[in-house]
Amino acid sequence: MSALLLAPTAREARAMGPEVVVCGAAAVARERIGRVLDEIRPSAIVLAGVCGGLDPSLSPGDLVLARSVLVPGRPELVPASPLLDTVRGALRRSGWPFVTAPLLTVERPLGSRREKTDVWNATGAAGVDMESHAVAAAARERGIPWIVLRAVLDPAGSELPVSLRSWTGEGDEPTVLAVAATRPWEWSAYLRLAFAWRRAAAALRAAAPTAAAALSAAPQQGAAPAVTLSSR
Amino acid sequence: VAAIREARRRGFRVSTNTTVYADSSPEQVRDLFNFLMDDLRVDGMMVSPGYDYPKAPNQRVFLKRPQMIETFRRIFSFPDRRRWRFFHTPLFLEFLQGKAPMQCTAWGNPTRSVLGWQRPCYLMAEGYASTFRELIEETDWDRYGYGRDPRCANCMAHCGYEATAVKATMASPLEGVRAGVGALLGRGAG
Repeated sequence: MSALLLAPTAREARAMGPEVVVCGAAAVARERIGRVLDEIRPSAIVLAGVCGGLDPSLSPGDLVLARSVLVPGRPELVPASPLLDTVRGALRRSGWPFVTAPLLTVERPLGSRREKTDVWNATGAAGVDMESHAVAAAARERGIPWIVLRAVLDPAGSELPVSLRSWTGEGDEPTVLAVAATRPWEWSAYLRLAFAWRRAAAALRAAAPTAAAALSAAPQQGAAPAVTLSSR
Repeated sequence: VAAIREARRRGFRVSTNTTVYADSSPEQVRDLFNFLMDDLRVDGMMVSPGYDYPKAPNQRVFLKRPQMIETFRRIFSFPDRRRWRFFHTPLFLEFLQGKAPMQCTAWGNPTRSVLGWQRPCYLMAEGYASTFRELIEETDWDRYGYGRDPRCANCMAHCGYEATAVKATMASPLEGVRAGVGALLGRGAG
């Protein structure tokens, strides 16, 4: 089995190395992931990227290996247990801090501490992102084993700048930056995010290829399509 | 009650520990706290929601996490709250009301008995380590906690979360001042 490494954005893909496929962020991922999987036909996938922290014990750069992915009102998706154990073991040996916990998928970034606290109390998800459930659902429909690995970018105790809370993909960034330029009181928050990004990117660079290698070395699970490790 | 009165009469410092269950109404808990504070005049109180032991024959007595938060919000909304002295950090009391997010500190209350060092968590009965080093070094501590272990889904017990609150209080000068002021005003840390 050879695992395909997927990332929502080109920035996250660059952090992890050359052989990573960009599946798109948020709604783009929901629209594109089926086509990406049908075209590449991987035998397994690792979706890796950053997430917002909900578990208050997690800091920027801490990793969340998804025990399940949640969307309110939809079935919880759970990765194959032997594969999860395999990847978990590989990450433990790598020494990078991580937790195994649910991840929540939402349509818009959760920006305020209050929102994050309420969602944490309601779901117990360690992190929140905008793609995992859609990617896992598409993989599941095609019988492709999947794993999701996320690095915390903005921890539970931090607030996202208001100008960033409508972010839905890299295409929005010129607009976001233009708005942020007029809001100097948010600049320190962007600076914190920039430092956090360095830690999150380092974690992804160290752990995502480890997870993909562990998945590739694992025994075949179920009826998976052809083997591919694709480059962008 | 007689024992508490006698302990107080003899000059002992007396603290109570109240476990809140699904059949404890906020009004009943308020009346109990008033009784402990005003009639028995205990030095301070601790409070915690009951842990939902999976093997307990009657599961209906246990609160689920959202119910716990709602119950504690109601308990702490009574004006009587001003008279209650808790041996808790302000942060832990906010956590019980869903206002301060916290993860469990599973190593926060190590337990030793004739059987050895109890592996986390003491509520789960996962066996014993023969030495403290074995307990600390061989336990996968990150495996425990809300969201990480299904058995922790409805746990907000002070054995794991007050330790987190103490760590956060000691790490933050502002929280440290809050806890200190609460204690100096005679209301306990809470």
